Amino acid sequence: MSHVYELRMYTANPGKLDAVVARFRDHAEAIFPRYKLKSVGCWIPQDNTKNLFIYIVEHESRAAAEKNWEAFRADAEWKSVKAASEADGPLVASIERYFMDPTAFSALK
Amino acid sequence: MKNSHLLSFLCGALAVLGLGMIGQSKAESSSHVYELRIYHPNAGKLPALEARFGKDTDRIFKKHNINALGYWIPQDNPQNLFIYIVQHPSKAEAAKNWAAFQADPEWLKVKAETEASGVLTDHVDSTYMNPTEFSRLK
Repeated sequence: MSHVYELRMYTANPGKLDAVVARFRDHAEAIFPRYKLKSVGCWIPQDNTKNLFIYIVEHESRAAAEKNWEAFRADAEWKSVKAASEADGPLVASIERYFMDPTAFSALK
Repeated sequence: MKNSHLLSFLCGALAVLGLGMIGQSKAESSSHVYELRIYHPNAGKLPALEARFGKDTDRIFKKHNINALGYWIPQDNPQNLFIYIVQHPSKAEAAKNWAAFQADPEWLKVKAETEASGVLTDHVDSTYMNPTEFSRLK
């Protein structure tokens, strides 16, 4: 059976892109595996006029994705990291996300 | 006093310059460039676009070293999107390979045949991206 992939595109608030990437590197990446959240790749656009941070997460199913995100958001360490990193205001202005099915001919299944 | 200020400024400037150069050479030597392509097909044309990628486009891409990591269709797809990511050795290689693909006689024939009753794609959002240092895909 194929997996469900989630494309997440974060628009960082002005001046906050480095902090978004650092928080992901130092904390989210460590906490994700506890909840079976598997990041496939993380990227920053070369011409980044929209101030984006982009990554893809692989899930067993859409239902598993919803359950795992909920557990991640309730994680005590994540809540403390998030609060500490947003003392001066939220880092992310908006998130565009797509749950996607791989096509029959996709290399990633 | 003035001399020591000048000295510390110069040391700082050299350190910044040095770090910048290290960062640059690392980025150039180790990782790939990724291209996120989000297609907006014309109304009713998504199935034909997906079929063309599966039957012909992906195969012709490979002739020109255009390697797609994955092709996807959003589950909730009110915008009617078709999404894929291509890995390139560099942005210069990407431009060269795309030009070769666009001039491929087989592709031109497939494109003409599949678009006899109208163009399949309205527009494409292409974003060239660098992987972060902690990205699984490099």
